[in-house]
Amino acid sequence: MPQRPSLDSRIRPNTDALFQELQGEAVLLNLKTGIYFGLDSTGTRVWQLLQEHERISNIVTAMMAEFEVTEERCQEDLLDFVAEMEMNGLLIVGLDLSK
Amino acid sequence: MTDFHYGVYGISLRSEIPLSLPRPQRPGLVEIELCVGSPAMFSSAIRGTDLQSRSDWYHYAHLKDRSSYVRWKGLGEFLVSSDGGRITCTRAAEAAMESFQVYLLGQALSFALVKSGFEPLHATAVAVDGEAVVLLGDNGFGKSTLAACFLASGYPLLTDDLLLLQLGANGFAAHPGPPRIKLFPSVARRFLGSAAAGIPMNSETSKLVIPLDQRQSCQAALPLRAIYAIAPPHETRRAPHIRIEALPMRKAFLALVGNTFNYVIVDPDRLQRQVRETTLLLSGVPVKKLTYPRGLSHLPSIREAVLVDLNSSRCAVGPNRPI
Repeated sequence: MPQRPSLDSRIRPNTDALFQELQGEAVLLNLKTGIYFGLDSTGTRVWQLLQEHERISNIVTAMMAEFEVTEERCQEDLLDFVAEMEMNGLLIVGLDLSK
Repeated sequence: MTDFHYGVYGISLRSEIPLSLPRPQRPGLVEIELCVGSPAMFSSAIRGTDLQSRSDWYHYAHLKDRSSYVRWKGLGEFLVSSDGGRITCTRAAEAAMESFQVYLLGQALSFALVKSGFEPLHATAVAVDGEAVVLLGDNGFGKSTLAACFLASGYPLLTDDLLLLQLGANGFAAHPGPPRIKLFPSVARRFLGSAAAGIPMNSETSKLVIPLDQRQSCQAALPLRAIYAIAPPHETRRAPHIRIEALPMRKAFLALVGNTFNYVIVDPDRLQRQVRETTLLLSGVPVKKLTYPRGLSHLPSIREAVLVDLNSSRCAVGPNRPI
């Protein structure tokens, strides 16, 4: 059972995750399982940001600069998002991302 | 030795057994050979293989040589070659030929189509003013029933259940399927008055396979006009009115991939192609959600609503709309 990610966790997209943007929204496909996931505009932006930033806390900072949201809410939502993406094999979370 | 030559879904089918299909009108997008195999050949092909199943009567396996095996209990067995160029089949003794053909030209053929590089959709399509209007939806959503209502008003059927689209210089073309429709007897009686001419599809359903004549079916590919994703029954049961709404791209995408005809082949190459082709399709064709109250008496109004929507979107876009 993976541990819940923290703000200090480092993350990166799994190579099995295929991202397709569609007019500001997106779909993600896990190429291993064949399961699709829809991302709304906020989820799409998070996915774009996590390709630029490795640490979750940095993504929170970037999100705070773009969205009107409290820091607490932003952290909570982002950690939920990361946990769900990890559970579905779309993100790798951990200190050692070299694997 | 393949003695019979047919055209269906835009492909050329060379078959050892006679099928209820038209002769090919032009060279197919691809040629698929249909051969008859012996029970011993099928037993040998799957020896030592764990079959997967989706129900008690449907089993399949991806074999080591990248061919695929599919079986419907009491109906028949199929082996589709790795490149999709050949289907070897055998019909169960108790299966009616019409019933066998439904699965051969649907599920089994979908393996060959996907392996040949196509992305067949689970959809029914009718011809409206020389263009294909597609009704998308899972089993039981009412695709064929609504199509029967179009048929009753003189709009021919293009395909029932499996839709093959192909991108050409002028946009997407929708190819004609077998000239038949699968309907419940009550629907057939209401809209076609031809229930007596239908043949039971299989023992799992009361649906009939009803052959259509040349006036009732299209023989040539048509330009794709629009796709209507039918709302699932749990939504339509509560729907007070007919509603047609454009789907956002993300939802349209998920509706299209959710209605692939073949959800069993999931290797990465196929999945990447599915994403590519679905994105391409969405860039050229509107996908709308169609929600309506259930009940045969509503269907003529639903048909009219679709026709009005088609006309209004044509006027809004203008005659030179790009496809």
